[in-house]
Amino acid sequence: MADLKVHKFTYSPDVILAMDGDRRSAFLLLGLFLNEANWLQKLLIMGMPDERHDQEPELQSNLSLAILLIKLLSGKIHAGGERLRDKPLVDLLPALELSDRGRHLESQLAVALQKGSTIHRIRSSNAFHYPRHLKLVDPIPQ
Amino acid sequence: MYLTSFSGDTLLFLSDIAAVEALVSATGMDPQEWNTSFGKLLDEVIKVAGLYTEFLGEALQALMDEIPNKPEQQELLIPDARPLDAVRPKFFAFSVSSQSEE
Repeated sequence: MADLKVHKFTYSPDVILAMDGDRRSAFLLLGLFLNEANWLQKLLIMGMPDERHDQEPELQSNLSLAILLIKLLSGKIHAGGERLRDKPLVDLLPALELSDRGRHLESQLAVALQKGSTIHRIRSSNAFHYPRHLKLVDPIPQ
Repeated sequence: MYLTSFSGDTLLFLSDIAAVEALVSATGMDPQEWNTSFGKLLDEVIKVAGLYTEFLGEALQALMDEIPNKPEQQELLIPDARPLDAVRPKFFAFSVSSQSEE
């Protein structure tokens, strides 16, 4: 255990309301994407099956949570990625003074979300859908 | 299959095995190598989530830098924060309504 520093930034409502509408919306959207993705990512790490901490039946329930969160997180990342490529964000993001690291991340992310990627495949098949049929592998894992 | 004494509070582990099979197959991995494929999938999703949140953080910072009025800043301290993998969510727990029914 350790102390964790959190930096709090407070803007006056007037400053936020004075922002250009598209910029304010972008500010709010990016925050929403981050809030949701961070929660899901943290829950996924917290809930990963770990024999050091849990035993049956809790250990097996962790697999259930991990599957659910993989699907939700992939779906949310995919949906956020679509918004980033859509107006008005697609017009606004290139004009931002992003660091070299930010531009590098942007290009890596574009590859990770492209058609056929793992995230795209999960989004298209499992994220918010149920298959019509489920199969079991043979032999069934214990 | 695990059932508690509360109706509907059930965990069917076989369904999760089948769900992993569907997930792994949909991403083009080998369902027979169940454990390895699922581990790879988990690693990939966590890696992309890291890229996504880091990029969004950079973009949000760039947007904040454009705001002419600087915000008030304050440092808060969360004492005794635990590592994420040491915080364990529990499935087998009482809900408030279940307890009140007892």
